[in-house]
Amino acid sequence: MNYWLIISISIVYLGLLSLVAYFADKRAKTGKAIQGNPYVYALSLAVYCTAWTYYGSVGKAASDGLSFLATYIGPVLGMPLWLFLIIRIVKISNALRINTLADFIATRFGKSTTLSILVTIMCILGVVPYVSIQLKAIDSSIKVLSPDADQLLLFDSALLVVILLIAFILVFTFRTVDSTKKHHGLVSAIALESVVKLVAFLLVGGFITYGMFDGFGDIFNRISSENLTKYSTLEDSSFPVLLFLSFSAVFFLPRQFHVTIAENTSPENIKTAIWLFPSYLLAINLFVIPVAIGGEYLLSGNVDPDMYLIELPLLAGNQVLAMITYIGGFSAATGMIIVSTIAISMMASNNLVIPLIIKGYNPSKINERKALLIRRISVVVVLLGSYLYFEFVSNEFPIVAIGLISFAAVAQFTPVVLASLFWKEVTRQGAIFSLLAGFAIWFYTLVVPGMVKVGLLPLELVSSGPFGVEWLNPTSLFGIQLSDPIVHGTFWSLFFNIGFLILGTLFYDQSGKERNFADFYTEYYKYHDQSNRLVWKGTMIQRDLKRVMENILGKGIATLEINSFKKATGISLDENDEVNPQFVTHAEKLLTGAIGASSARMLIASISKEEDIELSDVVALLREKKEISKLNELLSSKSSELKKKADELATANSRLQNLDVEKDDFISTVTHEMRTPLTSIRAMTEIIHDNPDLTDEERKRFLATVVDETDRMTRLINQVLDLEKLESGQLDLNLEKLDLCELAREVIDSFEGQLKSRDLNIELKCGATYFINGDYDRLTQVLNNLISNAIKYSSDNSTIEVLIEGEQEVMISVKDHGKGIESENIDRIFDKFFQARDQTRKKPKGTGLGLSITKRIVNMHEGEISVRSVVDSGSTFIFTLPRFKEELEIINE
Amino acid sequence: MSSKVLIVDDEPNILMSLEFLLKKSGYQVFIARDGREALGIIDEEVPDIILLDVMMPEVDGYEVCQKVKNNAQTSHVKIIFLSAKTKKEDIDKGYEMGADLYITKPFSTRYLISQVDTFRNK
Repeated sequence: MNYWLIISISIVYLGLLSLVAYFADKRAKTGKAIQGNPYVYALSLAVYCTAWTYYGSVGKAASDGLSFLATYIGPVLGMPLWLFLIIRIVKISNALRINTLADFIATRFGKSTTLSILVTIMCILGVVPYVSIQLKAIDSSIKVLSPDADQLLLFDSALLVVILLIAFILVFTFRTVDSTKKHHGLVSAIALESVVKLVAFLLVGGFITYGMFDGFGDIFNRISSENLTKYSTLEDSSFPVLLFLSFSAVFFLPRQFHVTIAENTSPENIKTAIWLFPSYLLAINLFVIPVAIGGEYLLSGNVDPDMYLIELPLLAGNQVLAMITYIGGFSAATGMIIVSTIAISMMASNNLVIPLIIKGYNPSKINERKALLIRRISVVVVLLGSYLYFEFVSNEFPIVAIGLISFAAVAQFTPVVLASLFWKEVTRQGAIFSLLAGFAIWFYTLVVPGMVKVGLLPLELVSSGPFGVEWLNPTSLFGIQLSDPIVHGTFWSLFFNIGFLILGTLFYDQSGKERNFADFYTEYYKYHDQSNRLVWKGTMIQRDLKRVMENILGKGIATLEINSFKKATGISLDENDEVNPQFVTHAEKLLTGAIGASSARMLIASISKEEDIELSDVVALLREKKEISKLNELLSSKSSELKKKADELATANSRLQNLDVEKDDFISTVTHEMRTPLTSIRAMTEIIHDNPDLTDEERKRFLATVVDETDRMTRLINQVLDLEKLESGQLDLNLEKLDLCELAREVIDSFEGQLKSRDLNIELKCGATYFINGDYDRLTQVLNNLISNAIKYSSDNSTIEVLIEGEQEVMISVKDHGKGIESENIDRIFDKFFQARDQTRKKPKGTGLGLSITKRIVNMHEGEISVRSVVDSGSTFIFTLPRFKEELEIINE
Repeated sequence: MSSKVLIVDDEPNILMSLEFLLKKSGYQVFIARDGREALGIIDEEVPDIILLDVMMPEVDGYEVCQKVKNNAQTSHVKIIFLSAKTKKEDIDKGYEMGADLYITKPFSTRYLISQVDTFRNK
């Protein structure tokens, strides 16, 4: 195929990509961003699938069978973790304007410059080879399509691609320095590339499977017998390690961190990604095994298995499909290169170059334009570096090997990142030691053997160990042979990585600054948007801070931010004033978005006299927070206690009020009851006084009435006093052994006169002789009350029955044949003056205290009193008394 | 013709004393022991003055007063409450029901008779 055609198509493809990016940017400016779309977000994550996936999976499947799947199963298995891991990282990063892994780790440990540099270098070393293999993939695929292309050129096609990509990146990213501004065009282009590579793979895979063979069944029938086990079983002992590596990679590869975290517009989008991204991985692997088997069957031994995907359509003479394959591979490679380069150059400029300028020269030399320039230069350097690496090193390695070594490099971040989120106590020293140790072992066990292989280092190093020390052999540390160099390197690097993380944390204490962020990272949900509560202490003039902000963010943004802060908080930010610490934290966050955490930190430090944040400051803040929440708890428990007390008080009060009302009622009723006899007495005496001419008979009648009414008053007073005594418990019973029947007989006899006048009869029935322990006078009073009531209410000419019976206790009942008691009153009949409550109707006879007193006396004798009544038929009052003890014992024997 | 006075009370001794005093002053006296009985008498013999207790079984004094005052044929009848209920609200209620006078028990019989005389002369 014509080389120039391939190059032209590549240029046209990048041109189309540019157009998409351009329109996406334009739409974003008018507020209709494509990037906010969760599908675009999810597709952009598929930048995970590089040329390694595209070409290398087939190669790996052809050589090792199913184990290529580890790279995809790892991320899929890790998907559920996204819900709390990635959402957490996204929220923290948004709050602190973090957009690189280096910033994320360095910020957690007090914006440690050491860590940001370390992470940056690790990323560069881990990723540049990875970028270079993408170039290799493009280069190889061009070579397959156009075998003698190189002779036509002064420079090779990879360099041409590099130059095109530099142009694309410079146009579509880093137009403003604030990298927290999302790159709508870029992300849309990446999402499109994901679609292109998937469609291309499916088309070509479908053509090979169904066009060159008769579908899956046919292809699987062509597996040679020696390869059968390879495709049907998974005997790769390194599989779990590969799972772990790819699981880490999907989080921490700089490009993944960039699309997942830095370009995330809404944590909600993650929920779509959780199902769409795994589905994508499944789809793109659909034809890997058929293509590998088909390639082995038709092309075995003649060509590089990595290139089966292009070689097979070519073999079938289908130039167009071969071209489509190339475009898919080209898009997979360029997508990865673009995003990786952006992520890496951002880290390099923010964490390596800008800090150097701030430290070495003058902080005021840094401004927006320069920061941008530095970042652009970084892009060029990273891409050219990758090209050089490709040109001189990576030709010696298969694609997959370099990919896995990269994965192993980023896996070194896993322990530190997880610890930073979940282990509050982890220290900066722990993180530094962990990364250094992990990275050193990674380099020694995984990179050094490669360097030996290409002849950069002497062969003895791997055959007999350095200086002949066998246990230091980079391929078998401590003399332990592991199945696979990747497993070996991953195991030892993580072993030391985690070990030092723990040791460093145990042997060092957190500084105040660290503690500040430790709290924020591990308990970010408590802060919500209060990242401004992070502590800053020092002295600085507002003017200086403003100047720095103008330099880095641009005058417009700086003024806007200052004004909106003023408006939001009401704090005046006068130029000549001391800065407001809260605003410094905010400004630093803005600067972090522009030039990274450690550069921003250094810049702020350079213009201020900063005091170290003492641990005590942070502890004080924490304590304040804790105390407030403790106080809140206490307060809410106190308030519920208070509410309980208030309720009790209200109940008591209403009880008291009821008592008060009762007492008022009682007094007014008693006085009322006294007014009636007094009225008669006064009237009678006035008559006698004013009428000397009264006959003797008349005078006698009036005087007798006066005596009667006086008796009535005396009775009333006595009963009131009785009741008072009974109620206050001052009444002592005079207990003695009493014959109840005898007592009843005496009481009944005393009514003889009254009975005769009304033609009434009382019948006393005693079942046996009943002795009780009681007060003679009081029990007489009880029977008196009940019998006089019965007499009062009985119809004339009727019989009152008094019945005394019972076994364990004595039951005394007094039954009359009178008008009965209305059922609505029956419950209140033992209340004092119960009829007086309805104060305009009056009980015809009596004081209204008799039954009340009766009940109390019965109760004092440990008895109960009750009443049954039928209106117009009569009432029965029944009370019980315990039998005399010795008598009871005789009965029970 | 002598004026008619109806005494309504459930206390026999009060009835007895008032009947004696009023008869002595030249009134024609009627007696009722409760509200219902009183209403019956009022129906038959429209009295000029009623001495009315408040607290009585069945129909209370307030009710009797209201009925008398609301009936066009009896609304001119003077009503004097004689009551042991001495609270302000009870007294107010009596006047509200249309009473011409409210006297609390115990009272001076001389004062009562002088008031009855005053009403008769009006």
